[in-house]
Amino acid sequence: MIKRFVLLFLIFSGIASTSFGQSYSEVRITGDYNGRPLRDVLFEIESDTPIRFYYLTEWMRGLNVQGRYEDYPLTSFMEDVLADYDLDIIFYDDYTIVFKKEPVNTVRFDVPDDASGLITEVIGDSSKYIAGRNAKITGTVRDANSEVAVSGVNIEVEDTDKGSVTNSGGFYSLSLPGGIYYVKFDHIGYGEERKRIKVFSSGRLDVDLFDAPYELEEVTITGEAADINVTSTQMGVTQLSQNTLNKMPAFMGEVDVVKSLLLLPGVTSVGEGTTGLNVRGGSADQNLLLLEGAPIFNSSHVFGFFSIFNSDVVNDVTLYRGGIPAKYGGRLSSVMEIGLKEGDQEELHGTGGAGLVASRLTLQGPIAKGKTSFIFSGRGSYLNYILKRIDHKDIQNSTASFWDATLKLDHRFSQKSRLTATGYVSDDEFTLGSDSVISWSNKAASIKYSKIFGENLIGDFTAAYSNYEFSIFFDERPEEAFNMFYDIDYASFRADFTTNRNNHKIDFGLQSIFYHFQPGDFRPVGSLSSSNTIKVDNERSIENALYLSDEIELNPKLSFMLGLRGSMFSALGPGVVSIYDETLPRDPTTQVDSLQFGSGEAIETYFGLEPRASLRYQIDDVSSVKLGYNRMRQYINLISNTTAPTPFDIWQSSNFHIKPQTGDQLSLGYFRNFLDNQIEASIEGYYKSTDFAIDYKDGADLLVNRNLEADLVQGDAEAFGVEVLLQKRSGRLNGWASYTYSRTFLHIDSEFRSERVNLGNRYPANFDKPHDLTFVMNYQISRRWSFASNFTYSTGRPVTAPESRYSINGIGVSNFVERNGFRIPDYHRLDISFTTETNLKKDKKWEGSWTFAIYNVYSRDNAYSVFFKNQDNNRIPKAFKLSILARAFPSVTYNFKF
Amino acid sequence: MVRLSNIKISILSMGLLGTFLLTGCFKEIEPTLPLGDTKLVVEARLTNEAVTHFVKLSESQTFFDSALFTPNSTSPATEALVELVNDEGRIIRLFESEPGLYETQLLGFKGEVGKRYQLVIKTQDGKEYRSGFERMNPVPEIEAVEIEKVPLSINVEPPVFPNPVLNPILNGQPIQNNWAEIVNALFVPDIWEVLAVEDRLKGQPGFLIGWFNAADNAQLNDESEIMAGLLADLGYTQQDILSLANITIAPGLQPATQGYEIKIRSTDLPGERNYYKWNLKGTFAVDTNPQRFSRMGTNKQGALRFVFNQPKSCCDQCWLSFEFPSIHLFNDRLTDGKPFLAKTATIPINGFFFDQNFYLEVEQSSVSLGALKFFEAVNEQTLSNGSLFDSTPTTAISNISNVDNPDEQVLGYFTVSAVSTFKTFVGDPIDAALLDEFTYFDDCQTLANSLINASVEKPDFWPN
Repeated sequence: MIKRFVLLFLIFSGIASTSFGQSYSEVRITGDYNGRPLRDVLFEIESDTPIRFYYLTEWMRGLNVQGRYEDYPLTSFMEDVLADYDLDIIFYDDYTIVFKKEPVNTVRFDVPDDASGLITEVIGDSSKYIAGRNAKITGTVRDANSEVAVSGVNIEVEDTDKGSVTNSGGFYSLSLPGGIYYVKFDHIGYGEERKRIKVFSSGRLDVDLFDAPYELEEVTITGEAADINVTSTQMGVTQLSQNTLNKMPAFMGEVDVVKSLLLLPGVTSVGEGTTGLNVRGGSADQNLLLLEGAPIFNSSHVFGFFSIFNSDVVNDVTLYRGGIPAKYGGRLSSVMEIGLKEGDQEELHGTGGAGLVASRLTLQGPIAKGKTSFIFSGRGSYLNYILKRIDHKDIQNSTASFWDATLKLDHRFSQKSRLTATGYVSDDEFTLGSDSVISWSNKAASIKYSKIFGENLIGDFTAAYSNYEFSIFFDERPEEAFNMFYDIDYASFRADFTTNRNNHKIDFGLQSIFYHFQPGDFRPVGSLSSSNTIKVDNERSIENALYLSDEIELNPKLSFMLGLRGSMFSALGPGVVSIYDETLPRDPTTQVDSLQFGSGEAIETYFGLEPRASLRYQIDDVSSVKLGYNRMRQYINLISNTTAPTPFDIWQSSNFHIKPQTGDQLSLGYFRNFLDNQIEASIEGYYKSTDFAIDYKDGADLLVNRNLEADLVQGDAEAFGVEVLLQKRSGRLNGWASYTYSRTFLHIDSEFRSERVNLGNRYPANFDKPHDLTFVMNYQISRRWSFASNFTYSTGRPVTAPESRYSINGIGVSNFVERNGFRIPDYHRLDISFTTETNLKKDKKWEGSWTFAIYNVYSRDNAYSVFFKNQDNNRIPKAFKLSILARAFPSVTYNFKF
Repeated sequence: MVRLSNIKISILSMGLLGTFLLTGCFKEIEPTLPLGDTKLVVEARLTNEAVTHFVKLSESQTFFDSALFTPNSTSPATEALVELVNDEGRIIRLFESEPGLYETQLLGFKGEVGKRYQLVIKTQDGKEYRSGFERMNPVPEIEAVEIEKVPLSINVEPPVFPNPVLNPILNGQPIQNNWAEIVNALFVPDIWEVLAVEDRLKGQPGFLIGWFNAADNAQLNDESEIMAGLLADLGYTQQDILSLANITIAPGLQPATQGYEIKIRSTDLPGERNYYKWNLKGTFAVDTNPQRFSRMGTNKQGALRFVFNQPKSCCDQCWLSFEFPSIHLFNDRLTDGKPFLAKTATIPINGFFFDQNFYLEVEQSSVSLGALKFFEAVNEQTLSNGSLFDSTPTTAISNISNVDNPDEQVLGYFTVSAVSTFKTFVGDPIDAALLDEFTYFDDCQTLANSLINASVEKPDFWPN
């Protein structure tokens, strides 16, 4: 068995040795070979023609060629020669002929050196070699210039389904039986590194990656081995690298890490200029957005027109949307991990850029050479000049600004342990026409210690803190002047371990989270204000989780991953819980009692198991079928009664009245690659059901509400869909096309009329857009110029339309009955961008690039919303379509690097 | 009153507008909407005042049916049995005074604070509808009504005006602009001069071919006769005339840039949840110009227009009164027990409202939480501006249901309110002196519609 693998590696190594000239079908043999060794004859052919043969030397022992040939085709010649022997050949390509023999159950280490000149690295000690036992290979992948660890490097052991990805510290580990392997280390922005290794026993292999000279071979979606979509057990995961992000046409030139995900199948949003992503029919709060392990509660700048992540420091974005690993929990629909770059360990570098709305500057360099590095990045906006240009007094008197800053420190204690610390701050502030000020801010920090224990255990220990706050200072009229504050604090500790044992890859760990919510602090401002001081009681809660998952490779065809996560959530005192009359709908007037809880007392505890499973069955080398299942539990929810999430939505944790949401997702996919993994195709279907999905009652007032639970209702949600993806990952022309069919419905019923939504009937979610088509294309025109474009089409989102109208006291009232029963027109848009590099010299001190982008090239007047209004003092019914960004939006961005 | 969600919406809309609507545009569309069944609409209100209490029953219309406010446009549910029941079992019957309108006939009947009331409706076809028992909650007195002059901007509620016909005038757009100009210019016309104009423009649609001042030809009061003569002169026959219609002609007023903001000072009742609704009523006098009343004729092709001036002798002054069509609500959630000064409507300062005095009656009424939610839902419909930060439009949930079929949707609300009122004159002669004069070429009584009352009799409270 093992032997056969060795042979197959040879086959792949042949790719590198092809050249132009006669192909095997044209080669003709002339000569008198009277008993000459076959090996000599093959050498002769190799020296006269571009044909290369691959075989094991031992097979040639005693093989001779008899007879005389005159202008004889090579193919027939080989048939003749091998007729008497127990050997077969494969015409691998036009110039490569590989010998094949039925494998013998021993491992051979005396394979000849590779024709492409790869040096073989020996792992372990030959004396420790035990046949059939797996050896453990660990190591670090670094940037050859800066010696900075590179995370997300895909490691592929060619022609096996073994592989790995470096973690955030650049560590990886692989488990392989003894033998000779070709291992590919691949990461966007670097040249692919290929190693030939001879494995005897456990050992270390560190690899340096070199900058790709020009990114001609740039991959669009990468961080994955060429055929990982077919061979990995994981499904529903995608990674976008910074290079891909930077070249995508961006609105007003601001590369948007979060919105780029909209181009992936299964990811939608309610509309342009909004932050929330809806992944496979999940609401916007069902995505766990992690910045180096710390959650981000609101990712919007400028109400959602831009996302808060500065693309200069983002290394990659990984989105898990199906078969979510047991390591993650706390949100129902997806996990988005944003990985930051690591500072250069050797010398100081800078990057930066200037766009229409904001400028960025990033510095990175060593603190202690080779040991400690930093990367710092800041971004600031200059939106005010745009506001000043709008011909409206109130708007001209308004100001808007945002900024964000990121710092990451990295320290290496040894080859086996390192520490990273990340800090992040973002801030938005708006001053409106009058003196009112609204602002919101995110803060996040994490410290992570990674260590390799022994040969076979990698541990990551992460402490994270996150804070989100917003405030509204309203001063339009002194009688109403008030200040309102909202604040969330989050602290967590987690430990994650990975170990490989034979054909098992085991992940296990624990996580503990402490939440502290200050749901609303409302204070009058000035002596004229008629407001009271109102403070909604603070809420404290803890969430603990343990997980274990095992990825088992039963045989090369079948592998599966089984995982289990157990999570427990407690809402803690001190607190007062309102008790309502059970026979009446909940509202402040039906409260009959209240329960007091002392400090630290558990008000309510929820516990649940979250099984995760995925299975891969490899049909053949290029295709597989995968099945995935996951159950997720979500204990904190964003409460919003607007179509798109706003910065002023509040997070509500599960409590005495509000039960945690639980979601089950089942997905099935077929994956197939074409043209030597150049083209990937997949079709995935999913079905998802959610219990205790949260919605609000009609007319709910959600801010500073002490009886918020009385305005919330819970029900079921159901989502299903099919995602089709066709993707070309490499070459001058690359990109993908995806089509998604998806539906999402909610069902919220109650015995009380006021607690039903849509009269208790099932209704489509705000973001239910059945058809979604995306094309993304990148083309490297020349060394200097590249072109990118994307096109999206989607069904219009549903809105609630009135079915009739009536009058009350002379006021026209629209009767909105069927929630989301009407659709706005379909959406489509094309964006393009051109990027040119200004300096192509090899030894450049300064690299600059210009990106020219046009958003909405053909000025499509897309409907942003359709709404119904009674005009002329509620007397004349009218329907309006609002379009924003309804014309082509050109932008220019300059980026530099030194 | 602070309603946070409204502030939130206005802030977000501003942010949105300010930053990115520079590229946005609104378009009026007429989509095909799902058609719902016709539903029973109930307008019912009981107060603690000894007045006649009304219950109006009607039926819902399709959304784009703009006939909603024309008189008798909604088919009333007639011959129903309508009763008010209190929590002690006392029953008050209401009698149908005109189709669909039911009123209490018991003199001096009024609701009592603290009691609960139910509305019972039995329709002709045997369906029985009942409201929940609504409690009449107490209401505090209005301490003062304060008027503040404010600039009108997008942050201020849209100017109140109850008459869609006149709304454009108040926004500076004259009605039938070209006609108004022509009538003005040619008020003492030389008919032949106009006909010369006609010759030049002949064949083009929408132009004036004839002008006739009926006052100068008092003996020719038959329009068709006048027209026949004119038409003969112009080479047309009377059969070319298809219809004659009244035209409303008025030059536009300078749009109001300032308004009087009406603020109500009162003190919330402490220790309980209180919800208030304010109803405002205005009365003002207008001077008009019925001597210039004109009619217009159109030919079959719609291409030819004839204008006939037909002076009316009455009435150049009358008093208009209207209920403000805006909804003003208060929830003491954030201000329990405290004195408050609540902003309500803003009256645009223009020559229409403020030619003379403006008399304002403010009614402060207590409502139940259900009624508050109902009117909030109605109000939010008017606030929608298409932003994704708008709340999803919601059903205004009635407190009335079909006893036998709880799934049947009933529209409207039975409100039970204690009320306190405050009356005051609004206006400032210095402001008024600067205003354009309102000119309307018709009897001022024709300004009345289903929402505006016009009376030529001076009200008692009007100063001499």
